[in-house]
Amino acid sequence: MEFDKIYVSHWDKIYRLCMGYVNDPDQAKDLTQETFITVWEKLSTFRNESSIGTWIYRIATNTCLSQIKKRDKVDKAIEIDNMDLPEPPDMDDEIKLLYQFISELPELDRIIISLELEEIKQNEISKIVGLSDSNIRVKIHRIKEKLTLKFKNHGK
Amino acid sequence: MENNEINLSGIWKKQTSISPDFQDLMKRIKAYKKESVVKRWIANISLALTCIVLISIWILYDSETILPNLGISLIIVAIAISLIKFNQFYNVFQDLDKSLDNQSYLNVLLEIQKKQHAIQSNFMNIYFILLTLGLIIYMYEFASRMSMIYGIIVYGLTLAWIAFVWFYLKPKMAKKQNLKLMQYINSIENIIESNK
Repeated sequence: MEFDKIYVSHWDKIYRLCMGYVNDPDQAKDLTQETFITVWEKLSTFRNESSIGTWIYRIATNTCLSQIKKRDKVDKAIEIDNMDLPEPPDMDDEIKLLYQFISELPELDRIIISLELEEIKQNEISKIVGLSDSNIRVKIHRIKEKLTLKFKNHGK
Repeated sequence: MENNEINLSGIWKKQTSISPDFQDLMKRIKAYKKESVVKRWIANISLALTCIVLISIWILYDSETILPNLGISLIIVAIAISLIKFNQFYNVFQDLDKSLDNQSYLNVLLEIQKKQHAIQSNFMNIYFILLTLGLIIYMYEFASRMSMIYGIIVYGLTLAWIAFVWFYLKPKMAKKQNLKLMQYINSIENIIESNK
């Protein structure tokens, strides 16, 4: 499979996933590009054991998880972001809120809900995250409840 | 419950798409390739340099006994080991398989960090022992030419400095390193635990 085509067809999805994780457009872009550097490097080792989508999502989510070391910095950046920095242009208020609420969730929950909102099948999500189908189903339900509550508390 | 839920998917889908920047990616790939090559060569270069410097010292450095040569050699070996060790650890991170599922990836990450934690203190001890021994042996020939009092002063000051490093600086450095590593290990463990 050609790298260029994969890049064009998956960039958007991976960027949104990373945005869900960090809630910062610049960091999300960096993480997305970092994901594709790994994809570019390892593409020849890809064996069709899973779909190419699952494979790329795994790389992307693990790239996000590798940021744990920088988590304190990320958390601070989010706080600062919410207070001072200008918001990125052309972003709907509801989406900004959604990203903010997602970024407040625990790490794997951020990944799970972003994948769910990208309409990835639940059995695919379980393959990406490494939890059972039933566990993922329960988690998605709970995360959606949490997010709904956050929206309601925010005055929706 | 469903009716009360906010339409999260609807909000998610409203996003405008952002165009990918292929040129930026190519630039990053180029920089990444360069960096990987450099990092992978650090061990080789430091090994080669160590050998060259060691051989030169033994050939060119004119001393009455072999002690200064031996001392400098130990110091250089200590420095080279630290460079190589650092590089090895970097490579372990680079070679991590990111196509694992998240849980497995986190477990591998945890395993590596725990191993790193275990070898960190041993490695630091070896590094300091080599440096200390190197310094003491290196100085012996020069100190033996001094008067007794000067010899005692020079060795006394050196040993005081070594004691300061060993009993104050080293524990402080180790504590700082361990704290960082333990925080990292705890973060990984928390993520894994929260999903059990």
